[in-house]
Amino acid sequence: MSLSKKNKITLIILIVVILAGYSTYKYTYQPHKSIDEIAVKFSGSSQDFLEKVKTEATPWQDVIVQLTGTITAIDKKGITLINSIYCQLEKGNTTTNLKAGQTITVKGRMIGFDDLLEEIKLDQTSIK
Amino acid sequence: MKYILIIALFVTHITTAQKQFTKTGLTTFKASVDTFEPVEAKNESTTVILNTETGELAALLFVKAFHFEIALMQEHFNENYMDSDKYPKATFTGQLVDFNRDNLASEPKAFTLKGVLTVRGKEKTINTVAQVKKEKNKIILTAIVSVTPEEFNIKIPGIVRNKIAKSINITLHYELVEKK
Repeated sequence: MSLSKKNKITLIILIVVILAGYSTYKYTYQPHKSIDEIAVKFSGSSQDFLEKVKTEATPWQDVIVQLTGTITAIDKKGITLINSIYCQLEKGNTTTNLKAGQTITVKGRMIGFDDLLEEIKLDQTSIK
Repeated sequence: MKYILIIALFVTHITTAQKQFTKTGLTTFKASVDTFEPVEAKNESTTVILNTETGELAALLFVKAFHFEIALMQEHFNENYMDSDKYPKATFTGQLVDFNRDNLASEPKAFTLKGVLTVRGKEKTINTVAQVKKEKNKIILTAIVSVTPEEFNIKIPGIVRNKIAKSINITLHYELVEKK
């Protein structure tokens, strides 16, 4: 099959437009990065992390942390570690198997230091 | 001595019972225009404390905890518009006028909500109506606050100006439980 020159050009333009459209679409609607795709910036005990944040909070905003600590309170949407770190759980995680007094390791995103309640806040937390 | 102790216990009981709060309040904002992709986001980690004796209300949220359906929109929101590395928090301090917890019922009652909203370090006086109801031990507060990007010095480039609403509605839904 042979195409005329005009048809060839039309075909090439069409392919380019489709590719451009597709990549724009891919770029615009790229999915959210999951917690596991981002490097953990702090891993260790809740107490150490609390002290670091209290000294200087700015470097710790919007980073992924992995903390080990004792549960001091549990509510429907999350758990509190060592009275000072509130971990809001990622959807799909439940608090039903957890008890106050238990020591656990969690991984989540640090969102900031809440000065109203004087505690650290994590979201998207999962139990390790 | 005994009496003092009893009185002391009673006083502590009153002071601890007068606050209700949440750590997971829902704040959403909508800046959508009809013909374009919805511009809206949810923040499910808003901290809110209500003093039930005085009606004083304080709220705090982290801008980066706003979740958009489209990841790229979230990135632009944080980096280009809200400058959230520099201004990570948005706060509100104010009051529910003539608030009286004893008058609350399962049917919502309207209260004037007055106060100051701080976003990107800029303050704006808010005066709106909040609907407040009681459900068992919970106090549920809902309200809508309207703001414009200009009020907080947020510059919107001409190219997207028509895709973002002139007036942005912030919807509050806070379920406050007793503070232990």
